[in-house]
Amino acid sequence: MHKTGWGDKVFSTVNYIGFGIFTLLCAFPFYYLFIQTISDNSLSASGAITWLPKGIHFNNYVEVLKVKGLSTAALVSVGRTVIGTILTVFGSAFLGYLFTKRKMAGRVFWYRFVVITMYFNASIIPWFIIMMNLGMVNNYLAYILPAIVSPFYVILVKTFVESLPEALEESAEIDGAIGFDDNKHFSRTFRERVGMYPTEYRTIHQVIEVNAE
Amino acid sequence: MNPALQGETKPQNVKTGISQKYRLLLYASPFLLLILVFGYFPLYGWTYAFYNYKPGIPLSSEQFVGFKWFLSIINNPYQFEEIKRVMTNTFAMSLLGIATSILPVIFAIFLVEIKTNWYKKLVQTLTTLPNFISWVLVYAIAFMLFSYDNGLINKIMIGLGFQDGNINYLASGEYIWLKMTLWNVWKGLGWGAILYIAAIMGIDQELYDAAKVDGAGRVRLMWHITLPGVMPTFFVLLLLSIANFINNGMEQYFVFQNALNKDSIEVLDLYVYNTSMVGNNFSFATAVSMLKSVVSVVLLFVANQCSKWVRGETII
Repeated sequence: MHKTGWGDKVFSTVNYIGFGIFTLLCAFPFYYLFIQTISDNSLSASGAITWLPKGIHFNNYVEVLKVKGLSTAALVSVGRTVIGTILTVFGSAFLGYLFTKRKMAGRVFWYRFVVITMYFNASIIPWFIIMMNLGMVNNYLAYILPAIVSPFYVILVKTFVESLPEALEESAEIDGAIGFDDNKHFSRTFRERVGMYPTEYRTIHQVIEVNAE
Repeated sequence: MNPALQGETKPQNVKTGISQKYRLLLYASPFLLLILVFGYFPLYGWTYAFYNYKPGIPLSSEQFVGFKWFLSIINNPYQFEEIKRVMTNTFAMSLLGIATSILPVIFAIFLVEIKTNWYKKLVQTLTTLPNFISWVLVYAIAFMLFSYDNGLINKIMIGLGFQDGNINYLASGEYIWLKMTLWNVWKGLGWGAILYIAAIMGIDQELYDAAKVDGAGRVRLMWHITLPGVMPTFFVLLLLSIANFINNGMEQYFVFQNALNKDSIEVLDLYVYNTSMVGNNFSFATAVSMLKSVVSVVLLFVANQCSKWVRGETII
């Protein structure tokens, strides 16, 4: 069904090569750094290593692993990343999603309330004093709590959810994915689907039932 | 009979009796509380801008100086020239940054056109690598590649006969705005594209199929379906970067600055660091960061209003 013409091939080739070049530009410096670290130290210091490592050894890495406190620090970092990421994704996605709900009281105000904090910078000393008053100095929570709501991610989630077709959520509700806490909404959806309000439907149904007896 | 079918039309939860609009706010409240505590409470620190602040002494015993620090930004011709120079650099870097912010969009649109999966993944992985290293390490890399003696680029250029002797690329202040922008692109392009790639993945495939049936070629698909699909994300990020017009951050410029390029590399954030942190003038730094916040928020709402006029929809 899909014909690949001459122009298409040129497009693809240029595309592949273009990305190849940029990828090399991004990756080569890292390769270059890496071959310096595993090459003979005096050779790399004199700038003799250009394309390939010479006198390969791993002593530099062994030395790094001997640094005291490295494992604890690594553990703290990994923990912070894992816990922090989970909570940030949860918190920011939840709040971002709530902001797509047009019914929320003061929605625009609260959204702006969150967003503008991105541009506030109160410098480090008041920050430290706040943390101290909250008892979070030398406390793991200092990493976690302030990061739960990230205004930037809230904006992203909101934009993304708003770009989804609204009908998707409505049809999911009809399928019982969310349920009807809100009776007004139920009535409306019911009317859209059945053509009459639930009360009308019930009345008519009762009439039919009575007539049938 | 199902209780939901009883025709009750008040938007109230049966159990709690709280109407839905406040219930939604209630769900959000713990998160809003966090914003209040960590986003707003520290702002009381802005009062330091009105004092002659010395760290370690309680604020009540500091000397109140009113708007002294705000006025000191422009209070003599020499200082005024300095601010003019710094703001020129700041504006230049921000304009170049906004101009290049379309590049990740193009990157993403063309990357999804690559149909070889392993190649696409390889490109995507390797191009995000630079994002994960700090500016200090970027400088380490820049130093290895561009340094005066033993720098790789110098060696290659001499080897190929393009230049006679070593050139000190990092020290010269020529084209420094362009160089800084290129480093920025190098570091951020692959990473910045991720958001757009995600947005493209969210585009309904049926749109493409329908357009193909109508006889649209590849370029037309990209132009009429993929591009409009990523535009909402792009405009949001554009708005945020406009609001950040005077906040360039200082790390990048801090690591690349030296005596020769300082005049054209010193952006506002770096200037504040150089004058206040090095000179231990904490109140001045606070005054500037306070002004910056105000300018940013104003820019945010101006840009938002513009978006309303131009595109008919607001972003925040």
